[in-house]
Amino acid sequence: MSTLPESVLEIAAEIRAGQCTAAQVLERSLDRIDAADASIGAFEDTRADTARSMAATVDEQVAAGHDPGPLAGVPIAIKDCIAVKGEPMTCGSRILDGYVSPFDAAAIERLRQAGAVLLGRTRCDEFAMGSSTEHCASGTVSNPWSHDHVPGGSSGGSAAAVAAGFVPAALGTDTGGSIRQPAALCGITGFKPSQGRVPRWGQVSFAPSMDQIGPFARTSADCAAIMQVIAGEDARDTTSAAATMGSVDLDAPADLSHLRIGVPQEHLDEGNHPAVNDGIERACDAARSLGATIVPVRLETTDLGIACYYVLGPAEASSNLARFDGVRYGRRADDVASLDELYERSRTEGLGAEARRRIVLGTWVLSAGYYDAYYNRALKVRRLIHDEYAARFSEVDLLLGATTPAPAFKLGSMSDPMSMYLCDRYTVTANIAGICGCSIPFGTADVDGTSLPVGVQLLGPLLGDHVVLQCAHALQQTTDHHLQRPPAGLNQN
Amino acid sequence: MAHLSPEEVHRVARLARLTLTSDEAQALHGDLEAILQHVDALAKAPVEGVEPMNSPLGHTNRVRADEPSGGLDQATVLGLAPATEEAFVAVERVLEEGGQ
Repeated sequence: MSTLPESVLEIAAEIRAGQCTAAQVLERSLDRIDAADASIGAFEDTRADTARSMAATVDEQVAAGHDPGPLAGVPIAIKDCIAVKGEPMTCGSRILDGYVSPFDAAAIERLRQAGAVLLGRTRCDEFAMGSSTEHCASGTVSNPWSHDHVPGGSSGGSAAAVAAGFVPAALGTDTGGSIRQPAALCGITGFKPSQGRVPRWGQVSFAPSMDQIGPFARTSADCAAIMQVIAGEDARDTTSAAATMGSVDLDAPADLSHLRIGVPQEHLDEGNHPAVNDGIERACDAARSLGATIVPVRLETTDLGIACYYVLGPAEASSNLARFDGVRYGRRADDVASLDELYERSRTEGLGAEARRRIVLGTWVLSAGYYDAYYNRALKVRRLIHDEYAARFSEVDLLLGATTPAPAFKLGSMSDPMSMYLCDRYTVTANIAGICGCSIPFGTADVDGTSLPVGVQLLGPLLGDHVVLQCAHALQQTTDHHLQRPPAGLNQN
Repeated sequence: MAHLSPEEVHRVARLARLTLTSDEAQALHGDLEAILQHVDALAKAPVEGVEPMNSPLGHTNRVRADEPSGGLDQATVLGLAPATEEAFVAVERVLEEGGQ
């Protein structure tokens, strides 16, 4: 068993070539989860039975001489806000207790067609609102690098599952950094596609003008392999982009001599943990050594990001979460006397503190008298942020900066919502502007004797997904930060 | 910029069909005050003459082809509901006895 491949690309290649079986790869994942997930808590649940039957189908196809697809037999974990037919979906909320999805999300249909094995649902902050996965109704998730620390959020379960080696890849969602931030905190690669690149059909809406599904894996090459499967227009999501994603050439020599990469000086803030700024410097050196031209740039709207996001995000959330009312699906309050009481008690008992906070905030900024001062003004600021990125991308091909201001913090240590929101200051503007971004590990920080990963963020223009992934791949071909693993023994029985 | 009062927190929560205890409303008021103080940075942004941007993709009134396609069947949809009666999702009585 020790010779089984670990990466998405190697697993699929060896299974397609008959060198190992999907069943062997799946059993290894299930064994690792059994051995260590009790101490991490990445999964809401795993479905060994359905996963075994998917793996068996893949193995039968190979035996019969058919190609199961580019992700043949690759076990993939799914964030619990993406619909998988026949499986429960809670979005980390009590209000969806008992809900079983009657359909597959578009991205899930595509994973199935590509031969992937879906093995379980991962924990997330309630309705993907959070930066630590502490706002999950069923429990918290530990960072595989240090069980006292958060994995980041909101896709913390997916990031932890990959970092702990349970699965080679997972899907998450990113509305303000919820893929890139946990990827950075867990020392793995996480890709947030351009808005519209992956159809949102079957992804539970939080803020649809910013929501995107994307992959987590060890490497950007593996993320690219998953993107090639899940990207593409879908008629059921009228906001999905018609343009086909450009291909990423994984065999191309690592050469960045054609790229100008801008480094936003606002990302090198003195308030960052020093290891974050060191990581950016290291990544610049690596890119320079591959021929890239590195230039300092300004990104002056960076400081407006959180203010803009905490108007637009809650406004959209207050509208989208109105559908959870206890009537048609999910949890309904007992012993109610009227329809009004049914709505109010179902929602009040079913929604957690963070979701309620954002719903009230969003309802207020949309209400008469405040709409212009807050919501409409935030939409104008959105254009400023968008236009500044567009101006930078007319001067440089990509931007290279921080993913987060600091490595992972301790579980329970950040009780004030505003401090938590500011963790996302370098990621939210990509969602506001619709551009794509990738967090890749670029070193570790020593925090009170604990080694914690640090990520850097590569940002690319709207629909420039392949350029970001190609550059990240080149950097990972010539550096080894993405090969670092959590301390040996920590995530074993 | 004017922020919301503790009483307004209650009122807005009710609009969103949420009921808060006074302790919860008090805590939420404190959180929202801190968030809105940060959000006030928007007031200083140079937005004179800037058009609001709803979506970075610039899609407007995009429609799919008007062709029938499969949806979920009635039994599946009713199966999701917490309470049903015949072919309906059941809720508490909305009209009084004898009401129109």
